[in-house]
Amino acid sequence: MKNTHLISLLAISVALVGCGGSSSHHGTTVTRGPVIGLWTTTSVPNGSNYMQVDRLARPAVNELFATVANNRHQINDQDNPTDDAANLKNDIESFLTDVPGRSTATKTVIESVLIPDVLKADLSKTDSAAYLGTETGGATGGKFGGRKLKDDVIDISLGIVFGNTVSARAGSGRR
Amino acid sequence: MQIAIQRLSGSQMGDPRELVTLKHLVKKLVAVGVAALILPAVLITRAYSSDHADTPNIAANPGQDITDVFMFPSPTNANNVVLVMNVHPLIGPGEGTSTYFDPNVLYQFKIDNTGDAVEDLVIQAKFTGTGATQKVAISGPIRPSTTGNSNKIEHAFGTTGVYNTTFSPTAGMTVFAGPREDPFFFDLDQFFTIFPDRATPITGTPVANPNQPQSTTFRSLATAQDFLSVHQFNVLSIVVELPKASLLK
Repeated sequence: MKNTHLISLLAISVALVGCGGSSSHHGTTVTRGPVIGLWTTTSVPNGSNYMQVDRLARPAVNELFATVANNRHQINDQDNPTDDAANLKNDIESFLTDVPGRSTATKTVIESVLIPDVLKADLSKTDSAAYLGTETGGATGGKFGGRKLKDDVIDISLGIVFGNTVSARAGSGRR
Repeated sequence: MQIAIQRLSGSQMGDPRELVTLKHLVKKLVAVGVAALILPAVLITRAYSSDHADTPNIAANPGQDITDVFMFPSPTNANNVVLVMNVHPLIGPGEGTSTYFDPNVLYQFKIDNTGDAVEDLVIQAKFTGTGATQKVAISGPIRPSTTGNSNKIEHAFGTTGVYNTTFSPTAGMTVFAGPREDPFFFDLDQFFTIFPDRATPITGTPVANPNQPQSTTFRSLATAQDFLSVHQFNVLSIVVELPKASLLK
């Protein structure tokens, strides 16, 4: 199991912001890429439009953090990444406080990595894809980020939530 | 395209009653097992009440249910990236070629390339028909006229492909839509040897020494058993390979 170094996550993800090419759009200069965020949706007919019924990007984020109680899960399924700072962030906050008991500093870092819920990739990188690789500067196996078919997302997610392996949790090492 | 990484699992038909039971069991295991993995023992009751990954409406409409999203560099063309969206969980062995995308559903990949969490480009997929000749049409990447959770079809769908057959809707873009083995993996058996006390509430089978871990770590890659592939479950995949540059416009 990979032990993701949480402390370095924030600094790296901040450092990643702002690198990329520029283009002119609506009269202002817009920087596009090389980091992109991807999410997927399914929508069903609703009048002349299609209304979103499911949304997914990172694996096991909404599934683990949001409760069925208060309809939290469905709310996150049907809203947008721009809503995550208000909605999904609170779900993560209460889970991390309630269950793994992480410090405020750690929670802040975790939330900065997981909000908004988009799958990030740095298209300028030519190494291997690896889940959360963009957010961790390649600590999970590749700076391209994204997610490859064989990524062990359960282990990586545990590293994020607990900052250590399952076996180490039984002893010391968790903060 | 790297579709060959995933193979379609299982072509043999099992006992239908057995399959239905197994489906229910595995659905429960996916939800409860993954939730229990994260939660300490004192909160196992809570895990039970918060285990359902899907809303009842989504569960009743598996064609709307997104199971996983992937994005990786093309293994054959350094200029390209591959996007994958999987839907319709727990298609049993032998059912992969008789399960289809939901023709009512608009399937979308949404891409933010400016870092504001608002989609700048969308790729839309729509299906017609339900048989072995189900047609798939894909448009984009295109800048959407509306963002957020109420959308419209942005562009008339052009070239259509056929279910389970690779096709090229536009030059430089390759698309596959059809059944694949579910690539998500989790060694549930070993999880139960690490946390025996989790086994009984999930499987209903008593364990001799529930508080005595029989192991402390997950198994190595060579010996680990993924319960989804052991039971040969498939999903429906929409796979799009396209130039990286087309996502940076």
